[in-house]
Amino acid sequence: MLFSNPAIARFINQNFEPSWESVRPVPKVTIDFGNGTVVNRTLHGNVATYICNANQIVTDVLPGVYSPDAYLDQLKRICSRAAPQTKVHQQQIQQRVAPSSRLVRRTQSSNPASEQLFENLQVDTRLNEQRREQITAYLKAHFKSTPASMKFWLYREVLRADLNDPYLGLREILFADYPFVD
Amino acid sequence: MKILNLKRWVLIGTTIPLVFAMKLTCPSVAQDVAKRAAEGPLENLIQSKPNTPLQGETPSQLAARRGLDRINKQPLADRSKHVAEGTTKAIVGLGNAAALLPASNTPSDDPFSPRQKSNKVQPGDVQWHTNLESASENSRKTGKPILHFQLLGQLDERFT
Repeated sequence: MLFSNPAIARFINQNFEPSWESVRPVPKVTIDFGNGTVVNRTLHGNVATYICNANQIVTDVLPGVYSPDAYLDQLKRICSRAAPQTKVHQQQIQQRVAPSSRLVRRTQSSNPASEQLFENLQVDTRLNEQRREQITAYLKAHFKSTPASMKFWLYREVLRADLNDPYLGLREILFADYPFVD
Repeated sequence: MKILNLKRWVLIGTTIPLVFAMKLTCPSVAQDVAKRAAEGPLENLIQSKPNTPLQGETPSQLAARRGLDRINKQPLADRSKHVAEGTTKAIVGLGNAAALLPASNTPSDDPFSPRQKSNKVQPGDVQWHTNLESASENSRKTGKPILHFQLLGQLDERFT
């Protein structure tokens, strides 16, 4: 959804060298209603955006899901904060980045589902912004962290989805009130 | 008005004893009549005009009905086996199992539905490098920082 947003895609293409990787398959939930109707949904998908220099050293991280406006805003801030590596790039950033104090901008929608999604994204965005303090402290303590070296810590400690746990840390929640655990 | 009411009562008065008498004297005939009334539409559906689409029938449903019609014309001996295999063949041959299922079982928004032949999607409008190393190489040339996105599941697959 984020990367289909034209403004975000354009900004990333102009200012970054983008790449992506899957850290593990996404968990799926299947509900069999017993009458032939089966519903499948994904569960607990989580993401992280690392900003790295050419040596793959992490300089900043946006943990989890952000609303499109907040995501773009944060990318612009990161770009303006980071020391540009070339003069051309510096000029590009100065031309494009407009200072902004707002974190999110509300979009007009008459669809209740979209409204709910918007509200959820706002909650996630605020939570993820709080989580960045923890990441900043980690990056100060661990120089030369790369996405590969810090992903297990990030997913376990910040995003609460332990990649080494087959249940992604959800076992207690899933089985707390369920009496038929194996 | 009185004449009409009179006619109605005469009709009722003669029909009810007739049916009652038929049930008493020949119950099997009465049952058969009821059975035929119920089976009639199904017989029409299977045997009559197998090549003509019924009202609201999709091409895949028509093809499946043709398969059933062929099976019905075969000798009785392996009928049940043929019915089972025939339906499977029809499904496989059509390449769309969902077409034969009731609409309520195949919600169109279900990303895992058999209707979804491929879950591959374009991962947004971003021009992604194939991996971090490739992005790193280009970063050295262009001077742009790397944006590395990690996720559970696949960015280029629908809802994963």
